Amino acid sequence: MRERGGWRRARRVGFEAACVGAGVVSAALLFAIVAATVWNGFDALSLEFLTSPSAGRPGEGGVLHQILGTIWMTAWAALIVSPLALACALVLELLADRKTARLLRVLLNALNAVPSILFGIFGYYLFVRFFGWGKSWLAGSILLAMMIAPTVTVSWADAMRAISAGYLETARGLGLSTGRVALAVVIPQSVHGLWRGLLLGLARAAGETAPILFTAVALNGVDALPRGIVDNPVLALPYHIFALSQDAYDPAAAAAAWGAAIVLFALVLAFFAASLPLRLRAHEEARR
Amino acid sequence: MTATNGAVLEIRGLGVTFGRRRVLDGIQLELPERGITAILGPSGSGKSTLLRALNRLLDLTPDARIEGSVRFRGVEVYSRETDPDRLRQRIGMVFQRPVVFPASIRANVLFGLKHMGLLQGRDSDAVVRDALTQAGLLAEVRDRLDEPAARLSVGQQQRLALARTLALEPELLLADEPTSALDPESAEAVEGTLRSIAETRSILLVTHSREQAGRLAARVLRLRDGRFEADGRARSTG
Amino acid sequence: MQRVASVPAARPRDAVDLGVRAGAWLGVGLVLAFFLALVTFLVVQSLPAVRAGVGELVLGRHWHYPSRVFGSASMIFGTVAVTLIGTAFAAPLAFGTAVTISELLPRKLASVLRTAVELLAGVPSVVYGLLGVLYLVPLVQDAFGSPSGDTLLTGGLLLGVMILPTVASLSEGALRTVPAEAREAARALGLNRGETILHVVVRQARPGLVSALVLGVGRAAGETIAVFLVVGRADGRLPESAAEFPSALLRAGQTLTSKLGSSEVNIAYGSELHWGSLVALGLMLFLGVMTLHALGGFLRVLLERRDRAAFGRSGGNDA
Repeated sequence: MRERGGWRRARRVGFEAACVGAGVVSAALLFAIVAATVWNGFDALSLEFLTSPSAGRPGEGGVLHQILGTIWMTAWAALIVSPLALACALVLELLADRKTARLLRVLLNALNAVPSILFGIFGYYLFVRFFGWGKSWLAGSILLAMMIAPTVTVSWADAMRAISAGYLETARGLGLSTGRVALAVVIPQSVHGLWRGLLLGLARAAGETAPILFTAVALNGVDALPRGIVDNPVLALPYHIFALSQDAYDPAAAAAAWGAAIVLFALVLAFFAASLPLRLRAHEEARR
Repeated sequence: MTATNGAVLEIRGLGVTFGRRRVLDGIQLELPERGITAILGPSGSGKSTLLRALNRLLDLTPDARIEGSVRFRGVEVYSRETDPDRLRQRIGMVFQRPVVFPASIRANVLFGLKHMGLLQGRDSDAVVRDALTQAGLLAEVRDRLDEPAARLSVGQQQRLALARTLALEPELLLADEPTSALDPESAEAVEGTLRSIAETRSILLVTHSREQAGRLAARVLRLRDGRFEADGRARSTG
Repeated sequence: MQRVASVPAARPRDAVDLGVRAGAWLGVGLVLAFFLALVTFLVVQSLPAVRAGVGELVLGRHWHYPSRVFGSASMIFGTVAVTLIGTAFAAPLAFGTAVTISELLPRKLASVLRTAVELLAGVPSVVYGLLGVLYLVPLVQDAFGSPSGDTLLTGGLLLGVMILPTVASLSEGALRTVPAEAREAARALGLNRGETILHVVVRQARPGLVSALVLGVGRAAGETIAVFLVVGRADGRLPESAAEFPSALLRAGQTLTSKLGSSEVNIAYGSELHWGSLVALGLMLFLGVMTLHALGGFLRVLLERRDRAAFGRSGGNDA
């Protein structure tokens, strides 16, 4: 009666082996992707690469201006998205009744599901043509901000939700109006949700090409940082890589693309790594 | 060595360590064929760990180290030849908070049997009715067996969990504070169920309530800081 | 953890309160306006093409703007093909990986793999595109002996690799929400680990798993840059019959997104029909992805309602 298993055991072993196999494949893919990127791009990486602008021909020179352009656009995207996310989070958690809050969540989910190329096409029509801005870095920042608004909002709203009821009841008990409660208690105590959301959102925004493709970037002939809004595109890492990828069989272009890819990878990684401690905190909060 | 004096479970020198913390030490116990044996103790005394060491549920805790001997019907539970899954089928267990699967009442009762392939050639309706009767729940649910089990009250869910375990016809039942999470009426119903189950097999009941131990058990052992206190004398059976 | 708003509001409504409220609702209004503007744009700007003939627009197999022919069928086929291939590739791997991380690995190793997978989910699509161009394209070319490795299959496989970490990560999260007591109860009955995983954990995580898959599929359908770089971007390729499917997959193709990401957008604006047709592609993509998400949402709610398992919490009143 103590026999070890039989067919039940065989099924378990088969099932678990398949799952572990899948895990191994995933790990191998990750390793392969990172290894390929690093191995290919390592040669192109040098201090000069990082600190000098591109030269005339694609694949020559460095990516300094692309780095600056990406940072410029994402920084502005962060500035634009923060008040919007604050507004949405406050409404979600503090101001709206259950039904409206649910509708707002539906809106945010819908916005989050929109393919990024549609942001690009819409942005092209709205900013480049309708507003007549031509190519503009600001259009890119606005589009990116809208794209990551759901992510930042949800992160901030979750942080608001985790504020203990005790604080809120005390504040209300003191006679503070909702707005004052928001300013005095809710916002200060939940701001880590903003940082967390921003880091996650910017990790995505920094790497996106589709929204900025037709609206905000150019390949060359542009200053490092824009001087105005209208007719002021910037250079950006993802677009740079995208353009070079189309010439990828030219070794110089490929090498430059890999170098830029490592830089972009590192940038995204940095955002992601910075968000980890904050995400751990989110796990703790969720468990309460 | 086979079991002596008809003891269904013999524990000798059982010790459990988690990392560096000694949770159980020198546990010695024999369970008779029938009746309720209670283990009484404050929280943190190791009561739950003791139960889990008996059906090898402790194996699932990564840093638990177990020593000593546990013999179930004369066979060493911790030997290499023992299949823990088969063991757990023969030793039933109910927990403090009943776990009910997202399915009908009927499906819950049959859950263990079905997923271990033991339903072949059996009349599942009869099995369900029989298990629910033993658990003292049939009367309350007989005309809604196909309704979601989640709709039952906590007390009913606990009895459903008992039925689910009983359907496997275990030879021994481990009960980890089965009424702690229940209201008084449900607790009473569950206690009644335990009494009737104990007529045909042994129950090892962990409880923090002295009154409950007195009500139900033929023998009460006190556990403190991982050790049994001066051997519990048999109390007057209630 | 309750919603902040459930703590009842005090009466005073001073200027600060009004200001905060106004500002918040204004912000929400801006986000809503943006979304509505986007949808309106898709609908209105595609009207000229729609009016010129919906049937031809959707079902026409040729797209050739110099001849003013705008048929999307081959692009719809392309999108569906790469999405299905990607999903077929990613889903089993993703679920298997999720189970491995959540149930099979020791804690430390699980944590490492989980973080690695999350990281992979953040890799920009253009990097995937580059990897696809330089590694996957030659691989497909060699493996299948096609004239060029830029094919729908390549696009599908690349998408599969792209959405794998996302689906795996979300699925793992769903598995982890199943409480430990459920696993313990199943093991205590005598179910082995695999049976517990299948019949208890996965079963109860179903709504979350559905969500994860839908999100992955949506991402695959909407992905532009990576697909653009490897799919070949050839218009008008539609298989005539079922028998032609395999060879169609091994040829260059076009998807809705690869067309939308192409330089045609820059030159289309002058022509009402051309621009309208392109925007119509965008509208189709939008409708497709939104429908997918809506269906997924309904399915998830349906599953959640049917399960309604309450661990210890009573679903009804005490009898």
